[in-house]
Amino acid sequence: MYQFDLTTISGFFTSLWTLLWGVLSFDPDAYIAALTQPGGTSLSLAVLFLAGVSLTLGRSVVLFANRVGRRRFILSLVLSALLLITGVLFWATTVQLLASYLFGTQQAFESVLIVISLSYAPLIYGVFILLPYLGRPLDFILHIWILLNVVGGTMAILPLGLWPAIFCCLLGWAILELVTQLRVVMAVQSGLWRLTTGLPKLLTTEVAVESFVQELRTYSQPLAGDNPVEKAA
Amino acid sequence: MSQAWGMLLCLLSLGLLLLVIMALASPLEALRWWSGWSRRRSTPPPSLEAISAAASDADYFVVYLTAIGGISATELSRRERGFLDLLQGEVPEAAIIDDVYPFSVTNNPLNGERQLAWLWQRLHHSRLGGRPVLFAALIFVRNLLQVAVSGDPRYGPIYNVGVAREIALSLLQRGYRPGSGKPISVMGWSGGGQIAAGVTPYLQRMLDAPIYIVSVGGVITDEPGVAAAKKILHLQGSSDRFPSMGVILYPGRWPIWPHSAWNQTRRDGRITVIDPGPMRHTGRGDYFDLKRKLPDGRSHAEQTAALVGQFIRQQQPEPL
Repeated sequence: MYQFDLTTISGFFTSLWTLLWGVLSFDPDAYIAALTQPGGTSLSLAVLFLAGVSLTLGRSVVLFANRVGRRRFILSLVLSALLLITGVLFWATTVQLLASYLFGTQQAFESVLIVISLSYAPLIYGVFILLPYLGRPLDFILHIWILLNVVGGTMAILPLGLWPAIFCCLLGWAILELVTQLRVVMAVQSGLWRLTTGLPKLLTTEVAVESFVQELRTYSQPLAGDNPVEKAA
Repeated sequence: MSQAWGMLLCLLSLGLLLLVIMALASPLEALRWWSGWSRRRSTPPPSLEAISAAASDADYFVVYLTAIGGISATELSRRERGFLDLLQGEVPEAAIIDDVYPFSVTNNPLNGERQLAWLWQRLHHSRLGGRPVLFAALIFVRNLLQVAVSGDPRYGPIYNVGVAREIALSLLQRGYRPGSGKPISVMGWSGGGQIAAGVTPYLQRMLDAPIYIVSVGGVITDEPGVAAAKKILHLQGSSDRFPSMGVILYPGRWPIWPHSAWNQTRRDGRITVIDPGPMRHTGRGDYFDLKRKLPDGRSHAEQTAALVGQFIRQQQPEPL
């Protein structure tokens, strides 16, 4: 059923769609095809890229709040997806190393990367995070889904029992979180933000809105008081 | 029979798809306006000279925000107009402002500068003609989604500050003076109640003004803006279940979260809930019905106007 053809563009997209649909339908054959057929890694990373774009669209309020222009908006979508791929590469590396050193498993890094990348397939629904009211719980549900996928995938591929798999995944994730808090990593992130958006720093919606309130306040200040004519004079 | 079921299922699927598309697009109007992507800009601020010439000696300012059935602030229903006239009679010293459409961040009515203005106008006319048009419900759905945008902590600040700006400019043009301490009551019917709560903290800071909220059957979320209100009057008729939607859907309204803005404001004694009688949410027998009478002989609209009028007259100017 899963025959990947990456020789043509249409073949690539058909293979991508088939793999994505298979993974979202919880079909183990989809994972097996990605692990065994040539091009499985590229397709898995393509799934991850699409998931990253969809997630960034769903959370695009940050870009809108900072008044990022149209072209830079698209650039930011691409960059966010690439950053997601970087994060997954790091996570896959830590999971593989932890499993290898702590539990003596032997598995190729590429296989771990494919499984963890495909675990992010639910984020293809990330665009629905845009939905008012439902978006935030959906964001949470999608990430729980990913975590379950990663744990399940790790158990199958390495192979590991439930608790060792949970331990490796959560510790790998915690290390990733710690690394993103390093000053040098944060500086790189800030630099990338400036590069893609052209803005000096990332503002929260509340801060951006407050400056807008102050603008209107300044505008109406000459009218302050009961007698505007006197104030103007 | 199975063909009929198939058709029904198909229609339901199409309806659901339309709903999802509308919901996905709902925050975009506010976001595109904020980011400067939209061709439609906000109302330009009037010149200060023009505002100076129109100072008002009104003691109270009341801003009326229509319900989710409205397509424009200039096309309020006869019942709403009748109610506002009664309210003016109750509080002659109040300036009543009704030119802000609460379901657009740029005060752009549905039949205004929009690509689908023709559609909204047509749906509105069909509705006015008394024809039972299912699609007219799209107006309700569209505006209900804007209420959800206002109540969503991610989009709410942007949406609410936009509407607050439109209200502030309208108040300035009607002679409100920042820092004068004159009370402003933002009164919202149905979904307008949420918008009234959402704009309150911004309006307060933009104009240095004491803000009061009047919710007429208002569906209010766990909006943190309520904490900025001096006082809140919430009218909920005994035949109106819609305001409970806000209580059910938003955890901050549940009593188990004592530190939520709503519960803290309530504990401070700043929220007054009144049952004005057996009033429905909308349609015949609603809060603004001029014909339906209560046992004491007064119409629903008279009762609502009396209660709101009493709330407004109790407000005191307070220099800030």
